[in-house]
Amino acid sequence: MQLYLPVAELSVNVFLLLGLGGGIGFLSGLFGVGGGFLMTPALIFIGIPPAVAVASEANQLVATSITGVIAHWRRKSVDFKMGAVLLCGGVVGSTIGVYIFKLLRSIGQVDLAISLLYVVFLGAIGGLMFIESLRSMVRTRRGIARRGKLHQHTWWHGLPFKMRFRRSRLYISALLPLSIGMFVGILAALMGVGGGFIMVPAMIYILGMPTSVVAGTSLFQILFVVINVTFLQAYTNQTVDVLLALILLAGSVVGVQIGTSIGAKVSGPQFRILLAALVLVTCGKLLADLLIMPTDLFSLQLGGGGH
Amino acid sequence: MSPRLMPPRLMPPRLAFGWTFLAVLILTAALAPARAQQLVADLSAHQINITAGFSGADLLLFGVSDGTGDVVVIVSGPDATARVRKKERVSGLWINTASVRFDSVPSFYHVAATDNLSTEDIDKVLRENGIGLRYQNMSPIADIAPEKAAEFRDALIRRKEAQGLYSPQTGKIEIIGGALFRTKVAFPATVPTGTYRVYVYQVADGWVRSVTEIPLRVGKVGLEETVYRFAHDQPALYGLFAIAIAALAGYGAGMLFGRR
Repeated sequence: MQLYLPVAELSVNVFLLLGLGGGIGFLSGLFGVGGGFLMTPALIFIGIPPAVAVASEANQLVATSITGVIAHWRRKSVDFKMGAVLLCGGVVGSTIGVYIFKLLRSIGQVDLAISLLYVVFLGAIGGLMFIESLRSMVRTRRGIARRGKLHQHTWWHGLPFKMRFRRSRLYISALLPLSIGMFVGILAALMGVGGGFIMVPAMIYILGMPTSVVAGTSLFQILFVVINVTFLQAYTNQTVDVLLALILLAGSVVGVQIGTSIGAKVSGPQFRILLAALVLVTCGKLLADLLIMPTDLFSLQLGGGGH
Repeated sequence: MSPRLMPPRLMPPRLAFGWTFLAVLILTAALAPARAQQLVADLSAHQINITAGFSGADLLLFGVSDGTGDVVVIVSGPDATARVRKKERVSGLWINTASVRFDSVPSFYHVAATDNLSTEDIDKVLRENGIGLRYQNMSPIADIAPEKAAEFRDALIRRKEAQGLYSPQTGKIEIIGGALFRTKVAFPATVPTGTYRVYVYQVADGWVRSVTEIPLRVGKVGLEETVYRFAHDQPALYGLFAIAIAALAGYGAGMLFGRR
């Protein structure tokens, strides 16, 4: 069934969009990542103009993350206090990020910068997670129940402004989540995504949060980021296609539910190895795009205002 | 080889065309001598409405000529600016290096001609009369070498063909009984909106004898129009609306699934 999208100005297959929404919603619910880093390239691949894809995806993520937050909230796996601190950092970071974005655009290499950022971050995070989770899976299989320290003490545990995060069972300096939120905010603004795929590993490995509260807390923070992005995109670029977002979210709300319930049954290392594989595959695709000679060396950008 | 005056060809009687088409043809044929025009042409519709279910449209262009020369039809969509970027390998990575900006690029372009004209003939007619796509004032804005400009212009046309907005081949204009002609113009689902220019040229000896312009508009209607206007006229309100709808849908789904 074909449907004409009013803002994207093209006709698409509704079932294709529903399937896409469902599949990525599933991953979103499973890992607590927004899924934007997968959905946006997928939408561009099926022919949606990139500007509309990025903006409408943010709109869709508003719905996905609300559903996700509700599902996690029921299971009491959202650390609202931690989420709020991360968000404060995120607001500052995304403002800085938008400024850097403008700077890169004036140099004329924003596309390359985005691709390289993706490759570097996805590659590093995916690789580290993959190795770590593989190790812990092997350890479990060998039956060496080597219960390590609850967490390693490093220099950052000596930072001031300590705060207690009950749900995460942490007593750490507020500066730590604040700066992580800020850093992720910068990257999120530059890469046009919620930033969950960077936030989730950062929560696990740097903050040392229990895996069970990571997904919910990450979604809680993403919710506010995508609300902000949707409004700014609609206001400044008029690129939010409500119809496109609605179809995608119809598919994704179902996917998120399935993903969330399965996510609760998967063990920590298994969860992490799956996410790592997903991140690595995306990274490989982007790297291939940079390395393999394109079929047509030329690309067309309509209404190309000059810089 | 320039096209010469062709005597009217004897065509077998054609049975398979619609009654309306026939009626309009008889009407235009009757009107033609009275108005002392060499060519009269019209489209089956002057407005393409884009509705929710829109998946492209076919229009019929038909008319009658006095039988001299050939007919060339050019349909072009509203002009826009376009930037063509070229990728080059820089230390192993394929990245955008050069880019050329073009002004007044037709968003849609279609040429059709009668059988008598070969591709070379059409090219010659278009070039000599300054009406073809490649010879239009679709010139790069930057000051660059002509060969380089041609390379980027060819790439632009190639990309547009890949999007289905430029037809790679010249469409056929059927001639019926020597004087009546008709051709189908197909518009894809991605057809740009706006005012189109449809020109019917009567060509003899390689020169344009007469030009007929037919109005055509492509526009959204109904829900498509409402949403588009809302997004562009009240962007702030639209943004809040988009967030509210998504929030409501997300909340609704969360409640629905959570109650199991």
